[in-house]
Amino acid sequence: MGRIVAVVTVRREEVAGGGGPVFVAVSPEEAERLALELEKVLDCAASRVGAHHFVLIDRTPPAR
Amino acid sequence: MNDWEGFWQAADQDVIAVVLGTAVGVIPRVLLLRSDYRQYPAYPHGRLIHLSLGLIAGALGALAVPALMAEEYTAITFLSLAAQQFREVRNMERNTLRAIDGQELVPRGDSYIEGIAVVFEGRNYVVMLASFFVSLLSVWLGLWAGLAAGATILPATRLLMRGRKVADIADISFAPVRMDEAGVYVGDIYMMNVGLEADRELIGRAGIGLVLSPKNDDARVTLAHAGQRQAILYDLSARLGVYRDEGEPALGPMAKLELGTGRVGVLALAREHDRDKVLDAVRNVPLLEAAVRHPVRANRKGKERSD
Repeated sequence: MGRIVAVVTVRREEVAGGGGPVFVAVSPEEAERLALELEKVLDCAASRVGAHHFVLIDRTPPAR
Repeated sequence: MNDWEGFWQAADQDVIAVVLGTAVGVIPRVLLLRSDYRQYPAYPHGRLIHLSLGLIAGALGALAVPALMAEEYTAITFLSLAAQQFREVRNMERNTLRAIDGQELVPRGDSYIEGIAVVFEGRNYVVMLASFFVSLLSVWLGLWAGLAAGATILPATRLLMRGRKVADIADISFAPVRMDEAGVYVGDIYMMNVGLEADRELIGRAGIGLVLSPKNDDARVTLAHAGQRQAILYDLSARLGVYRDEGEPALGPMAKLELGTGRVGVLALAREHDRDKVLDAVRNVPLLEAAVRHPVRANRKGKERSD
């Protein structure tokens, strides 16, 4: 199961709660850039949810 | 009279049987030890280990016959000892491959590893059986019978150890890789959500899309097996190259099932885009023992036919 590690959004008010940090961007372009940087830093794939949010998801399989 | 003839006349019938049996046993082991880029062992030491074990297996199989003829019935316990050794071979293969698997960019997966390990064990039994029969015939009927048996057994071992391939159970066709917003599709099969434009652009450029349609209901179950799909991805990546690095989960190859029809969409980011090579790579993926099932046969009522 994937785990949300971080959220990037341009609409702060649509995101609530959760365990991961939320990064608020002022424009869609900045959101895209933030998501790209976080993808590289966290080794997690960025998925787009709805039109305004990115979630970075850790899909590392559990250790054997 | 030359020395060669003299040797055969002087040599004991048993010695001839053992030498011939061992030789015929080792030849198929050498032939079956094809090392290509997807198979282990790819290195000299791996080869040495398997050739030595093949020699031991052959010698044991060949020795059993003269021993039994001499009413040394305890000789049969040696064969069980050999079986124990070969099980050890399976463990060795499994452990090695599993240890390596964690560092592969595209892992083989446990089912594939299990399949490879079982084949390595099985080959030794083939060697032992071949040696046993050749030795048996040359003790009974003489050198020429042994040679004839060897000549027939060699192609038979090849046939025996040839597994089935993905091409036997599925029709393979190319499908375009397309994007719909953040969704990536192969043909009309949804693959995954890719959030970043940069990644989507890369997938569009390097991605190869394939659709595998099962030929019947049994094939559908086999293709749905996650281990079988991982094996397809591994072979594809090994033969066509991968376009990814560690820590780039968005760029991994994937195979998704279309639940309604049982078709499998395959998306791989490859270096090699030659269509014939791609098709060849998918067609020749071995069917894993763990994945093959025959529910249709099991469920058939009376003379009802499968499709």
